[in-house]
Amino acid sequence: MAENTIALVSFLLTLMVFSHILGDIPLVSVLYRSAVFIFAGMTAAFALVVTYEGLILPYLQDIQDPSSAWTTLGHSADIYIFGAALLFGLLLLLKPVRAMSWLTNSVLAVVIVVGASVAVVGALSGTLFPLLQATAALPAGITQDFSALVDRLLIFVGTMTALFYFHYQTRPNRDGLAQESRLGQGFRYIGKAFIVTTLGAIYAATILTCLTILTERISFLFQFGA
Amino acid sequence: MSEEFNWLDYVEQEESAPAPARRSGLRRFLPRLPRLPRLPRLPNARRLLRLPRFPGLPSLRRRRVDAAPGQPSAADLLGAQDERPLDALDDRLLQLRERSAADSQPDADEGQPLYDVDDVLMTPVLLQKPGGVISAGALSKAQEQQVELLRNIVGGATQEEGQGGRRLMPGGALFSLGALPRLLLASVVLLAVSLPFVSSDYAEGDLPPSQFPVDAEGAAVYSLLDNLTATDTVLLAFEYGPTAAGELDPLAELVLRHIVARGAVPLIVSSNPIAVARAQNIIRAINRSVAAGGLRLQHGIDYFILRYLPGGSLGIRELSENFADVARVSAKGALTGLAFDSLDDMAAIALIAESAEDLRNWAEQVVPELENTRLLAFTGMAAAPLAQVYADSRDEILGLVAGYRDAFTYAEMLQTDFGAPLAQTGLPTQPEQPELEPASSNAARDRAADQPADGQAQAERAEATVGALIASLQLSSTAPSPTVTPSPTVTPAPTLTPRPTSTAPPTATELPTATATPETILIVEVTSPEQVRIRRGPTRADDILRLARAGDSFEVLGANADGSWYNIALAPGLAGWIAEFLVEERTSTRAAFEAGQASASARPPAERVVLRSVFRFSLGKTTPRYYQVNSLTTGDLRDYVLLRDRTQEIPRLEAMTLGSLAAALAIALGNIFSALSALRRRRREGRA
Repeated sequence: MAENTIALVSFLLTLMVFSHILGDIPLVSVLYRSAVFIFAGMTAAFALVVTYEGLILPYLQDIQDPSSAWTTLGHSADIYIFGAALLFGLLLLLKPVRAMSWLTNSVLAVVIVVGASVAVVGALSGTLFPLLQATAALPAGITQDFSALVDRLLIFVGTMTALFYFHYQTRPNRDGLAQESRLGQGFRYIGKAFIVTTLGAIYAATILTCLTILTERISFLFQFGA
Repeated sequence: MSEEFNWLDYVEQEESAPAPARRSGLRRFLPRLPRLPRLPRLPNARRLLRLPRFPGLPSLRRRRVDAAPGQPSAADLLGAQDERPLDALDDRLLQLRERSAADSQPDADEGQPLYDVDDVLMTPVLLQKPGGVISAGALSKAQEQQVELLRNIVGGATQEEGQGGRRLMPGGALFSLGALPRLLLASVVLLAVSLPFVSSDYAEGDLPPSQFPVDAEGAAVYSLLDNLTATDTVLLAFEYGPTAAGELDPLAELVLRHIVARGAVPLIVSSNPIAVARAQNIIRAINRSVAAGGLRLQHGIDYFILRYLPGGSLGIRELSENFADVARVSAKGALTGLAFDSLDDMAAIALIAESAEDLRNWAEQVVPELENTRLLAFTGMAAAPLAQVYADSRDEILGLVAGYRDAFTYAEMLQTDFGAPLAQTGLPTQPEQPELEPASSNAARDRAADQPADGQAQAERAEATVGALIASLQLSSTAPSPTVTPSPTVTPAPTLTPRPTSTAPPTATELPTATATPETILIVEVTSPEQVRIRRGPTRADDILRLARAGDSFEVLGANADGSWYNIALAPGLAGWIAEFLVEERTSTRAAFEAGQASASARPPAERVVLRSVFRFSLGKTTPRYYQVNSLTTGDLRDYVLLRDRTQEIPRLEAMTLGSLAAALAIALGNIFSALSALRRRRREGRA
């Protein structure tokens, strides 16, 4: 019974979302908007529950039951951590009070700075350096493997010309106007071709994803109808 | 009264003065230095060496010497040149620029100060209609004030009273002719996607292969997961929400079924709170499929859902650096009893990612911390192009399985490996379920039938896997499992060596009552109503060896100095510590105690308690870990793979093919329509 109810609600919500195909017209648009509101509201509510159960509740239990340590730091450290998190959370609530908003900003500054530093370190060690190495490195036996040689050459040319596409420096001609070198213009065209090809591939892959999701919904509608 | 200083006056005076040359940028604010005497001109090296001149190459030296005295230097031009000149832009970019400039101009006829904002914000006029459909969602007084403030910020007068609500279409019409092509194209795509579900006559294109090529990345991913054993744990990261569920749920379900079918334990984790719900839904679907007679997956035994990782990349960073704490707490806020040192304790990390951003986060925050463990990437098609870059460039990321087509191939391989060969071994097989058999599996079945040698190898491998599972289960001392019957061909797993910590630590003092008479022993019985933890040492900081519940009794080997912890025997060669206030102490004869243990071991299989051991070798030392699991029978292992509903796979693949054709047709028609419109507009402009 419960599963049938869930399936019926899913069926109706799916139809409500599909009503957006008809456009932004009265009454019909309300269906789409209502479905989106339900989705956004339930998502926020579920995130709140998960955050409470997975993050806040363990610390509360730890405070109530000293015989169990919920982290490797131990019981007393857990209390301090929870106290600090609680204090930071309360400080965030002071945002509407203009005289105290600097406290909120301080907490946000800590979060933003730590997040930015983690992102920068991660981008260097996890993306930039490995991708640079992979672009410049020549695999063993590349002289025997012609396809690998072409592959590496293509990567190198694509990377360099795509970077050159975003190079805006020019030199002046005799009239004082900016003049682009012919070689640079050629590099820019090649880089543009690589960029367009990449964006096209991403766009095509995104369409495939959309079609996959659409087929799943259509399949669900037919299954429900049958 | 002194005249007030105005810097604009100063600027005008300076600009009106006959300055020899304008200084641009920050150089205007630098003090002027006296001009140095000009050095004699060096001979031109290119002319001396008679090198050819390449007109396309940019000159590396400044051309100040070539500039006339009244003209700006090249450096000045470069300093003032902050964007590409307009004449360097192609026609398309110029049109976009003109269009954006035209759009930014306020349209007097529009009369909508919130023309753009209205798309994302409901206007109160519509909502405040009495008896409206969603009148319950009308804005409050404070929200109305915020909307009013937003109107003022956007810059416009308030909406006129007599306008009668939001104007949905230009001219107040419900439909406009401009919306017809969109409706038409959407209908065509919907029709194309729907036809394969109505009849199989509309099948187009070939199905994906029933096996990954040997050198394909999907084959490497499948091979690693297929070689998991019962002593392995796999971190399974769910990084997708409901919007990508239609594409990634099949992949996630396959990976989960594959892991548990090999006896390994998945630890599910996510930085997306909604993904926790997705994971629970998938496990619920698996349990529904095996509910006919198989063993359902149980949280805390067969799988774990760890706590949510807040903060996006920050949460993932915490996971990589502090995995021990993350693994301690489940998503429901309960202790899991898991004890791991780092992510390298995992046999593999399987990431199911919705977007390339998710994969990038894991590649940046987790992969650099890994030493032995590999990351397996499962993504949607939208994330595949960028995910491929990471998979190609990083050795730590093994392979990529992308999209629904790869999921189909993965399912075919699972069906082959777990289906036909096991049926040849005489092991208990699942009943035939024709309604669940997809038409697509004919190829897989044919392949299995055509390869008896491979089938035999699969059977041997399956038997060896079951043997490894049984060998890895270390049962309690006098409690042999009634359902897990050790096969005579099973050899003990080499990792199950006698545990070095099984002997009582030096601090334990022998209790005289326990050794007074050989027939009488001291035992403790758990009295706590909740599950209690048995640890490796007499402190709460020590690792958890297993859990015990009320009524469980153990032989006492000793106690610590202050008597607050008992050293108890768990199994031959395995001892643990339990807190004194959780148990009740009493004496018993050894015969009566062993008889009670034997009767306790005859509990139903779902309640049997076994120990699973994981040995890790790191920096030359062995780290044993024990945690409580339930036992699985051989039939249960295959249930997780064979009882998957695959009835909708073929229509979906055919619908994707037809839908792709329809989408390509729509894009082509759109481009032709756009080109014709541009030609007509140019012709009209030419006449004008």
